[in-house]
Amino acid sequence: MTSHRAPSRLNRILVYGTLIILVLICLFPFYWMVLTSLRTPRGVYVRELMLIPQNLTLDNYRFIFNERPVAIWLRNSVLVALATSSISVVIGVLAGYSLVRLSYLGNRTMAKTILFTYLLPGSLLFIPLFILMSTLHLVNTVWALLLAYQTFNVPFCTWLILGYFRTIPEELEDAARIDGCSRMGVLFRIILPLSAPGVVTAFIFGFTNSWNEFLFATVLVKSKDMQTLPSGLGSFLLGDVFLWGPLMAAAIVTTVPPIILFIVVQRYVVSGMTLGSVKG
Amino acid sequence: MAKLSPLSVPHSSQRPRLQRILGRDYRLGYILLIPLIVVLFGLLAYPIFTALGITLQDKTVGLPGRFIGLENYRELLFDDPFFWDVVRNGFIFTLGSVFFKLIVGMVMAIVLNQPIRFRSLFRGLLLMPWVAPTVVTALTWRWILELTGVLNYMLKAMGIISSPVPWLAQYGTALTSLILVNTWRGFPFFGISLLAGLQTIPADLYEAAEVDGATTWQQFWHITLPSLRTIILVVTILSIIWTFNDFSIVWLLTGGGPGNATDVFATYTYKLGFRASRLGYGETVSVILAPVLVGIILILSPLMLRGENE
Repeated sequence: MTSHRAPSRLNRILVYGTLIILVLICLFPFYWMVLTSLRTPRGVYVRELMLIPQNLTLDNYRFIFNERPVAIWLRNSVLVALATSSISVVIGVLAGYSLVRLSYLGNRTMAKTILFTYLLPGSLLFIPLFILMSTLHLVNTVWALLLAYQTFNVPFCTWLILGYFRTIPEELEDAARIDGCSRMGVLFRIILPLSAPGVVTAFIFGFTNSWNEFLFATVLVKSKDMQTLPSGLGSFLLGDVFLWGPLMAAAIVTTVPPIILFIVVQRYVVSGMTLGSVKG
Repeated sequence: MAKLSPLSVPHSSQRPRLQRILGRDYRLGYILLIPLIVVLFGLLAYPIFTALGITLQDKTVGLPGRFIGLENYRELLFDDPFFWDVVRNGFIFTLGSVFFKLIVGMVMAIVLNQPIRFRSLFRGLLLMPWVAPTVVTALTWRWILELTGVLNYMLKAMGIISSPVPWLAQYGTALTSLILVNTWRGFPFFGISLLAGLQTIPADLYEAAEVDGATTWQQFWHITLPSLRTIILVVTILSIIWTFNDFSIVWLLTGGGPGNATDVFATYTYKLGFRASRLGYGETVSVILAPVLVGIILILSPLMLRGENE
């Protein structure tokens, strides 16, 4: 409700007050995560449990990279997320062009099916996918994740890309075709360059979705050297005595990449979110 | 621009028969869809089909299943000691979380829509809970809510409690704690979606209302809410689907405990499937709820498609 007249003083206090409370609630857990990760194992607990940083150290980070397989999990996470979203974006670009610009029997139904499959939750799929991957002897390999993540990333990326392709005027395509450009030529020389920001956004959202995934990762991969960061973190918790310092350090390692990517695509976030980009 | 006559498309009577039936671009159209169809069938349709099959078997991890008809369904509905608790928890968790997300999200949207300084900075900061991986959210909150955690420390320092409360480990507070953590994680999604909706409401609607002497509350009730109806509906249903099926937050914060006090569908399915090794029985929990879910999705998708076509 943007009011045209100058907001009253009371109104301003109310607005900024609410805003600051919300921001504090949002940021406190991050502050606490960072602070815990920088404390000595003993400093984490009891009496010294203070809100002000002091005696900070990087020991926890050294510990998780030297004594725990966090470096391997990091590598696995990067590999799986990159590969998964690359595959999804390629599939999405081909299918998106086909569904938006080509006319044939069933293209509408297909577009609806994509939305429907995107909304299907993973909790319905994890046992069937586990059985499928067992049959294919892929359990405990990154291949299982690569395949399983397509179940949410392909519908999602296709749906996003489809939306971006719709915004490109059809006249441009007609003009190029008169100049002798083939359909595929149009896709690669005109549509793709024009929708590059959209395609990159789909890639980044796809990357983040895979990066954050926990359920499939937990079910399909058990061995320590094949895990990704989220499932690795989970095993941290349910396994040993909880070492909160190292755990929070590993949590930071897991959180930083999505936050950086978020800052990169912040401009496009709203349109992506209303399509229900990252589940929450 | 005048419509250029279709490029190289022969007069319809000269088109090959297949093209007449399947449409102008059927060949390239279908070829480009092949990878998508492979994924949809191989990784979605086929597993779902087998899922239905295994609910009719006593399948366990590592062993082939034996056909037992509807025995799993019977056991789940009538003999399972926890199933109905799980249903109840699932509904409380979902409706509670979505309700709070909607309220806090609405507050966030309204505040961000005011003429404030550093709006995009504030918007970015308020989105942080939604950007952080769910696993990290769950672990950090678990640490905050621990018996020796910072929340108890602060409440004690302020004199609100006299001894630490085991927020996640006792019946009275575990489910509520989960709802609040889930709200923390999910409200930015509501906030940012509703903000996008608020920005499309024409300012002169409010100006006219003000001329007519409408109070802020009346403006909210009669202009803002009706204008946001579709968006509210879409985000609410989306959130219901996701929350209903949440695994990470519940699993990492309470593991469904104490006892089964906070078990929801996904965690119970997981426990039956992988702790008790009864894959067929576990999947039955998911399948029995699938009709509800498919119904919700079928209500939602036309709404989302309508938004898409506008």
